[in-house]
Amino acid sequence: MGKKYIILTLLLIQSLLISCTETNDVIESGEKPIIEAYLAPGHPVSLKVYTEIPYAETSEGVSEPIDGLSIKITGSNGKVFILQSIGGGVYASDDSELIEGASLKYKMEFEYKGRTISAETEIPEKPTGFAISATEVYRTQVNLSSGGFPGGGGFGGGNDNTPIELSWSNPENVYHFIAVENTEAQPVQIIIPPTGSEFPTFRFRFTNEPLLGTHNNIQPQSLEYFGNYDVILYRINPDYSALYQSSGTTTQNLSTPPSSIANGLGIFTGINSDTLKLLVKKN
Amino acid sequence: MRKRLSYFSLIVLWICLAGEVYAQNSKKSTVNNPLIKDEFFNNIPLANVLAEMEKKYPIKMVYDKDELKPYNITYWFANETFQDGLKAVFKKMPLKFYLDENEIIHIIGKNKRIETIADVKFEGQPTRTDFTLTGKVVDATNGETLPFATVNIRNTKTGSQTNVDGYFTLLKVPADTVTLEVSYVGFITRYYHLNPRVNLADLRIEIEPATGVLEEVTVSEKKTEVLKANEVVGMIKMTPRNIARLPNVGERDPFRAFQLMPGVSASNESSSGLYVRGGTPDQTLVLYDGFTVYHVDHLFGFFSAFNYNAIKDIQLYKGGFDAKFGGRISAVAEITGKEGNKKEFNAGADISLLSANGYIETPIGDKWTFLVAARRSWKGPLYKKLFERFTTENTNQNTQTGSLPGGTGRNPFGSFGQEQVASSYFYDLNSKLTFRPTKTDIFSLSLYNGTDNMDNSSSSSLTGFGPPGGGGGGFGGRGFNTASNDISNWGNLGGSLKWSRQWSDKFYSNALISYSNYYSTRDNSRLMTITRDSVNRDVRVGQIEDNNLSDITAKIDFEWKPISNNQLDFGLQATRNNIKYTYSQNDTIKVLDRDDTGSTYIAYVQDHIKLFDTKLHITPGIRMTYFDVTQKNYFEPRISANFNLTPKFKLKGAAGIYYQFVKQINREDISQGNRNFWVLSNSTTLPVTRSKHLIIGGSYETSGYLFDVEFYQKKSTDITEYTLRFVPQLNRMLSASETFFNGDETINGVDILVQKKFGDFNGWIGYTLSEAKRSIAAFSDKPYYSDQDVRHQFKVVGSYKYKNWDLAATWIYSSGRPYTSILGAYQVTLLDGTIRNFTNPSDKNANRFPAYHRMDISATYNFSPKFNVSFAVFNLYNRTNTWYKRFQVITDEDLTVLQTTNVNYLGFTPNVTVTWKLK
Repeated sequence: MGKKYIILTLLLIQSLLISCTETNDVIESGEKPIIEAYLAPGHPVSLKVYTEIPYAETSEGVSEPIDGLSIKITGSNGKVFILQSIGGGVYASDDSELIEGASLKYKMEFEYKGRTISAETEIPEKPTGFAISATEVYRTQVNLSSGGFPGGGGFGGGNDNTPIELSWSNPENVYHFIAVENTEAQPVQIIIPPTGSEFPTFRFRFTNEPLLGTHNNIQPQSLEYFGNYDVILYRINPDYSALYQSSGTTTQNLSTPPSSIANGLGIFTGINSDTLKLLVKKN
Repeated sequence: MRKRLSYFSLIVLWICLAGEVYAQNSKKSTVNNPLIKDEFFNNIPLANVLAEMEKKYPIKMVYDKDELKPYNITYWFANETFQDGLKAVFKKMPLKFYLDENEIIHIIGKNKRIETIADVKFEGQPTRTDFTLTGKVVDATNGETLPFATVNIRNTKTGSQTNVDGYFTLLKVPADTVTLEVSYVGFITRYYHLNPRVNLADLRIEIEPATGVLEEVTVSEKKTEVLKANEVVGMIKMTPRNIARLPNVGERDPFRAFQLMPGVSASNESSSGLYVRGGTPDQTLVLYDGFTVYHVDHLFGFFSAFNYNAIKDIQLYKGGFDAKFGGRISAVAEITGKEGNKKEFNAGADISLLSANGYIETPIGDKWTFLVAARRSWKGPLYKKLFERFTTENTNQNTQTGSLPGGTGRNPFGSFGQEQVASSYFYDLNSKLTFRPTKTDIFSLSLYNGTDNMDNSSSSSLTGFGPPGGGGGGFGGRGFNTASNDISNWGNLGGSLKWSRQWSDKFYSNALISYSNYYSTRDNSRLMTITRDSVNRDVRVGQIEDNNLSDITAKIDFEWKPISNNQLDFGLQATRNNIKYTYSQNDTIKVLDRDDTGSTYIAYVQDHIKLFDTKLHITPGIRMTYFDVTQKNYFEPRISANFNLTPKFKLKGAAGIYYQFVKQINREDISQGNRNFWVLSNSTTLPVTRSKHLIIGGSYETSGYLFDVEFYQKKSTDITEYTLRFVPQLNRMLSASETFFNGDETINGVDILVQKKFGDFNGWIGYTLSEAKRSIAAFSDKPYYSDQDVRHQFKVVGSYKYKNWDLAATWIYSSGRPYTSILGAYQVTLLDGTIRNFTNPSDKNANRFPAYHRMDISATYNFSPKFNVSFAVFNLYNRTNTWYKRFQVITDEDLTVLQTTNVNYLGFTPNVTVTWKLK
């Protein structure tokens, strides 16, 4: 009887020993650099590298720029870009060194903390058939700074709320993205908010997300400023549209947006664009 | 709904059918049970009445005159048989009668055990020697046959087990005067003394359940256990009758009871599925009366879908199982449903703070029995608590994403209204109709339906958005309405028609056709109606999931005992599976859309061999499967063995190869209910999973204690995980290779059990040490711990009987499960200048939750064997156990903070259950 227990105990100890084996190690916070680069034809390369915000239970971390890396970008046409670190985590190619057009591939590579960080992307085709239904709209300025709200009469007249239609051709039904950018040096607000009040910012200009299909509208009332606008239609790669997918934030559903970056995070993608003008005039 | 209707109409049809049979089988009078036309007794001593009846009619009775002295009766025997009349008389008295083998009526006290000639050792000369004995083991209280009961010839090495219909066969019985030792978990072991006067051609051995209220004379030798753990390697046996004594929250749940045994994980409150020895619930084959049940969860997994009132027997094989079973790589839970009381009508009910549960069982004539058991949750306080626990997170998320156009409650310019319409319930229904046209044939039709319906929908509206007073201007006429749908619906519908026949002493067959359907739909979407300038625009966002699995099976199993110490099992099976799964986002885009059909054709053969004076039991077997999707044959050799070194000390081992063709994939989103789906293997992206088992162990069992140790190893290949992590682009149809990732898994472990089997105080201590590691290249270049990996699990279960009280306590300790955390956050500036936040996860499962532990207690007061009230407390000391973590990046100007929220399992939860039965 005693012997049997000894045997059992020995077997148990043996199994304890067997079960001690290695599994994967955690990559420490801060080891993966964040990269942000949009490669556009006709433009020099500008690339940003910074650290992630480390998560620690006790303190709040901040993101720091990473300078002084030697980063190389090679095009599939054989052209090599040697990027200069210009501070603040920004790396740029010489102004005369430009990215070229569609279907060229660019590969980026550098060393950081003993790992090779690399990424690759392709420049998409330039968008075609981009058209806008109106190049000018009129808005009335609303001044709420003096407190209170103006009566109904002073608010309505002269505004044209017909949506501005944007269209483009998209036979392959790939993702496009629209950005509307006010180009005035000192833009004037259409609605001047009440002094000191927390006025809600109207950001729902239009579906500000990558789009399939061939058209989209801009609601004139969604524009915040008077003056000149660039309406830019981007043709984008899938990794850019993936940034817009709601990423899970529970332990049961964790995901970073997929990117082409190995041993790093962020975005390194080619874009191509076409730009139209829009002017918002004051009534 | 249509399914439910057809199910009910089937039941109605049965009752009609059965009723007809009943009408043809009223009780007939016989010589010993004469028809009495007219006899009236008015307050006459019972003994005198019986004496008079004996004089007038040819009735033979045995009774103790002194025992009957206190009873006078007033009764009118009016055109009824004597026994029927006697039954009516005894209804109001603490007396009962029974017929012995010679049709003699014996009258005894109600709580006395019936003594028959088989209870006394026969001392005369045997009339038969070296013969084959076939018989049946039944529950004395209701006539239910008892499957997998043990029948041994005392003081010899000959023994056997009853089959699923309760039949046993003993070859080479030395004499018809031997003593049989009949034991079954939860029942009192009976010594049945054979006797030349006993009719061996139709041997029926009744055994009594251990209810603890019989006036037992010799308690010392008549014992019962809650769970039996040491018959075959890796097997645990249980009768649902005894689990009522274990602490429970809400429901008496056989699967939760199994989770108290070593080797079955007890720390997954959100799944009642069986995580057996590092496996996942879908790797456990669950058979209910022969058909496969694909999903066992009620109420987000807090309970299993099996109603203990409808279950007679459960066996769990933790690994190394026979060639008879297949299609799963981890374990087998074989459930046998009750057939219904063969002796008399009976009914019972349980009501707890969570649900109401009732059953009816009855014989219909001599040849039919019928049982129906139904359970439905009601909106009690406990149901609400559990429902909220499993859905609150979900509601929060809705609110967050719902704030799209600045629609928060503090908006000074609008009114914000929210309305929550939550309604949900679960129910299940079991029924079984059994027909025994002859002594050797049994037909049974078993139906099961269980459904959960969860509706957590809400609607909200935001009107007058914009500065008031702007009538007619650009900001007028705006509204924003959302209706959030969150409807989950899942369940099983299954049925089997079985015909079993005992062809001879040595040959038995069991043929079955079955249908099983698992369905799960989920609509978690928001319909937004945006009113702008009085024009409505509808946008639907969210996810819609639909998983539907059907299984049609025909199979036949044979048992053949050609020679002594051999039992040959062989059989054929054909199964056709159709599995559909669609996962759509935002109305139109289907992320995943599968519709697969496949058939498996199976043949198996195995032999239970007893060697070396029956010291060695060895079961070699092989199972062959042809799977038409891959067009390949799969061979699964299996072997298991027990070697009894001494009567107390046993060595055991098993090995085998196991394949799984239908698998459940976890879509990592359990926070919103159970988000697994079933898929069918194929030859490319979802390969057939294969596992090799090796089990070695030993046990030392005395009359009162059991020490049991089993070492196990499982090496699996082509384990599948599903993730959208590496998908290059959502919002379009994805190819399977982008979301399904395959790899290997290795599980090592040891289970240790120390059990005090009997006595007023009994229970066990279980310990499991195990490790489960996966290597799937897509997640990590190194192996990582599987989601269900738990290093140590320690369980203590004790129950104590004190007068009319049954007290029980369980304590569970489990190392934490692994999880993937967030190491940091980062921001990316988008093309329009806006900034988005992202998080960076750690390596797969590189972190662990804190240890899980909790104590549950229960106290049951038995007013009578028919009525008891049970108080239970789940998580007595209110331990906070982590279910999962939620991470959120909060950005406030320059500062970015990562907020971590622990989502916890259930805290301190009391419950009361009232149980009543007619008989």
